[in-house]
Amino acid sequence: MLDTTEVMVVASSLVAAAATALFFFGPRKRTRAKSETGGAQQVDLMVDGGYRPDRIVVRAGMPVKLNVLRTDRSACSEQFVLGDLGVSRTLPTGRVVSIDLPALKEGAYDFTCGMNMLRGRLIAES
Amino acid sequence: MNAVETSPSLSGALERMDLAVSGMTCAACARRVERTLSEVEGVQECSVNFATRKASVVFDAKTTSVNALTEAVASAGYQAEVPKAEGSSEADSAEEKGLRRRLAVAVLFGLPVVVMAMSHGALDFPGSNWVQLLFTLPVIAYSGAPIFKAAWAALRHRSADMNVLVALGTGTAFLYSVVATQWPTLGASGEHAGHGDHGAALPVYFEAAAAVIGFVLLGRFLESRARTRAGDAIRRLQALAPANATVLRDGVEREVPLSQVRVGDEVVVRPGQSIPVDGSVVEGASSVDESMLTGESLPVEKSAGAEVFAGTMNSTGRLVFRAAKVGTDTALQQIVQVVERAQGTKAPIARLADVVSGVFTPVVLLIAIATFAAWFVLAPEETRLTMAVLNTVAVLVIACPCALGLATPAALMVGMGRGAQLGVLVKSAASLEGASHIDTVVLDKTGTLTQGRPAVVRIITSGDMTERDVLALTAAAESGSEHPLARAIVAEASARELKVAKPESFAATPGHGVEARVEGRTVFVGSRRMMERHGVSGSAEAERALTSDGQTPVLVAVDGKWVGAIGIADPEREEAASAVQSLRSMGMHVVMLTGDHEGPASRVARALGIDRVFAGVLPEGKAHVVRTLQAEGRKVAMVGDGINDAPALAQADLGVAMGTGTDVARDAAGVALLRSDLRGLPAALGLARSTMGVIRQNLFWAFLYNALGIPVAAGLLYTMTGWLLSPMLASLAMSLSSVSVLLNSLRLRSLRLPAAQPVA
Ligand SMILES: [Cu+2]
Repeated sequence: MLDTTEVMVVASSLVAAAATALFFFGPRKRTRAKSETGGAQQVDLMVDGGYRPDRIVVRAGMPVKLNVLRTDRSACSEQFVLGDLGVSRTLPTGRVVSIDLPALKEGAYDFTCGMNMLRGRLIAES
Repeated sequence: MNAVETSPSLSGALERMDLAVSGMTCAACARRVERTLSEVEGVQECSVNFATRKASVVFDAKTTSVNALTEAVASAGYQAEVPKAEGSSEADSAEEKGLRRRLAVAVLFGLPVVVMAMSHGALDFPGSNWVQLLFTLPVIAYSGAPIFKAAWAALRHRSADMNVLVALGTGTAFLYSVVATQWPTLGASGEHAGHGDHGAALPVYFEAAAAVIGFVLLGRFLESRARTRAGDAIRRLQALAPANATVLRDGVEREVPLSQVRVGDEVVVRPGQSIPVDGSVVEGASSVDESMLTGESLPVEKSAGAEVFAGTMNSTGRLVFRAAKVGTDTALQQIVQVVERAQGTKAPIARLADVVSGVFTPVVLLIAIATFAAWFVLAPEETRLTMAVLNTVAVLVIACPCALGLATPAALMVGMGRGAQLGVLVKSAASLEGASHIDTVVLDKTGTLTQGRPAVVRIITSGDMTERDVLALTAAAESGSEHPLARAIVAEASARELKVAKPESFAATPGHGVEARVEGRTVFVGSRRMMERHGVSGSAEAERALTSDGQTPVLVAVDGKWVGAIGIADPEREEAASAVQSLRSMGMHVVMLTGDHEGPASRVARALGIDRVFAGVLPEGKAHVVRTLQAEGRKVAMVGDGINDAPALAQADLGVAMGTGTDVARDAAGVALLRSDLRGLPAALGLARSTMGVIRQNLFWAFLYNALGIPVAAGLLYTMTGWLLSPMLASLAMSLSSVSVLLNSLRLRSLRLPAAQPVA
């Protein structure tokens, strides 16, 4: 039979596992792109060990300009890949790289680092 | 800010200046400084680099000064000053130095801890656990700092990487050991506290924490070296263009930074200098080494009107040329961009690895939690805490998402870079993968296998005159003709350095030939009808011999007597035979496609050893031929010029554009051969096979490693063999696994592709 300590350990493991799953796979905060008059919608994206913001909502049918700034030096984040749109850029640390995207159709477009470990999503809504 | 087009008179006063900016804390600061500077009157161009804390400004020295610039920056709340001279890659080498220092500290303090632990109590003394703790502290706090910092950053983004696993693993081992040092009898606490003192003090595992950090740093150090080498090929390409260019403005030579060369500038290149931008020569003559760009080994002669390309090396003379393409428009930059873009694309084969690595770390965390709970419940009470901690740590540190993540990109990077060096540009990972499956190659005859212009390939004489005399007389008779066959004969005569007389008279009969008077003799040159009309006979056999070989016969008679026949054909290119042979030795089915008649087509096919011929194919029928072959279940590569063959290239499983030279932007093809040399094709296919082979090995190894490593670390083998993996060994295996993936990929760097060697 399990003793009390074991029961406690098992119970807290279950809680920890649930929390871990929720933490990584749970719903995320969404950030809306700034719309600028006459131009593309602007999105400022920071890369430092992850993407901030990592859920970006843009308006469909309008061009998008991503201003990406990488501040970390991890090898992982050096590549910025927006696979569905055929975008792949090298991000030098500390320099803003502007990526112009065409007007997007409604839908979700995942972006990742070169190794597919850092991930974010661009969501085009009407 | 965009570059402003400047008039030549103004541009003379433009200056570029780098300012060191301090006080910036984030990217927004950098952008604010950039905006401030670009609003200063007279500033043409400005960019601020947050990492190097440098502002690079191009300004008009007549309207503004360095002081005005620094004041503007100060007014925005930051400080700017003119920096001292320094190397550009300082940040990188500083980072490597830092890594080395951290590694040294880890070894210096970690090694004694490991030795004490390995001695199994022989080196123990009262308080020795505290000494171990003291030694481990700097390893965690200093050497491990970047790992913990990066882990924290990732967790803040609710994502997890390698660093999270290592940080949790070492953190757990360390904290557990601290607790065990302070409360050594904790393991036997609770209801059984009374049994506590028959030597059941909790063991400490400081050595695990220290060693894991040491190994991870070591792995990272090796990895950064290997990674740098992986990108070498492209970096070397990029470095071909010089940093400065000499331009001629108002008749004066001025040295300006490369970025300031504008379209239309006259650029001066001296012998031994590399050419800074693309353009066309206006003055001077020189031979230029273009091997770095096209793989073409022979120097190319350049004189007025010739095109020159950035990154190529001017060797013998001074050239002045007008810039036509600058900045990212140059062929060199286009090539670099094509390769860089391709290196970032996803290979279909990596799809599974992508899905796995995307959820890898959270899943490993869940496995680690399960491992802890299982060991705590299943292990004997005295050892359950220790076992649970040890095995959990082992799981955390053996899992390596990096090997999985690196498997494909590392090989692609090296393979595609190597290709670029050999003049083979692969447009995407998918094309590379497609290229590795090709079993059939369709070649267009004209321009690919043959030179695309008629030439003399054989001379048959009646025995009355030598070959040379026949050729010389014929060339003299034809010297006034514009007919392609006539030009081929004249070209052959001059290639053989024959003395060709000037004809005294000349008359052409369209469709029949020419009749000329040369050195007092009457020469008839033409078809059989021409001979028959003049009653010349005896040429029939020679004519048949030439025709049956697919050549066009030109018959020659002197003073009414047949003297010889000249066979003209579109000759094979020098390298075509060896290319076809390489393809066949790779197991390829080689197919020739041509709009020509059966005769000339099969002549070329025989000469080159081609398996199958489709003759008389109209340009729009090419795609149909490709479909026919595909219907036979073949994976077809089609070689074409990239423009006229676009539908066929698109229909094929792999489109190969050959001889695009420096025009790489053509899109119908998945692979572009810069050099107009068919041997690039076996090279490209060989490269694709080797690269895909390495990717397959990498993926296999990375999957297998994790699939075996994690269960073993979790202690699955313990039930059968009593065998457990120590965290130390686990971390060593982890570090080596990503390094081994990189090293395996680096093998492609020295890939030998015999077919890609230059003509001897
Ligand atoms: Cu990684």
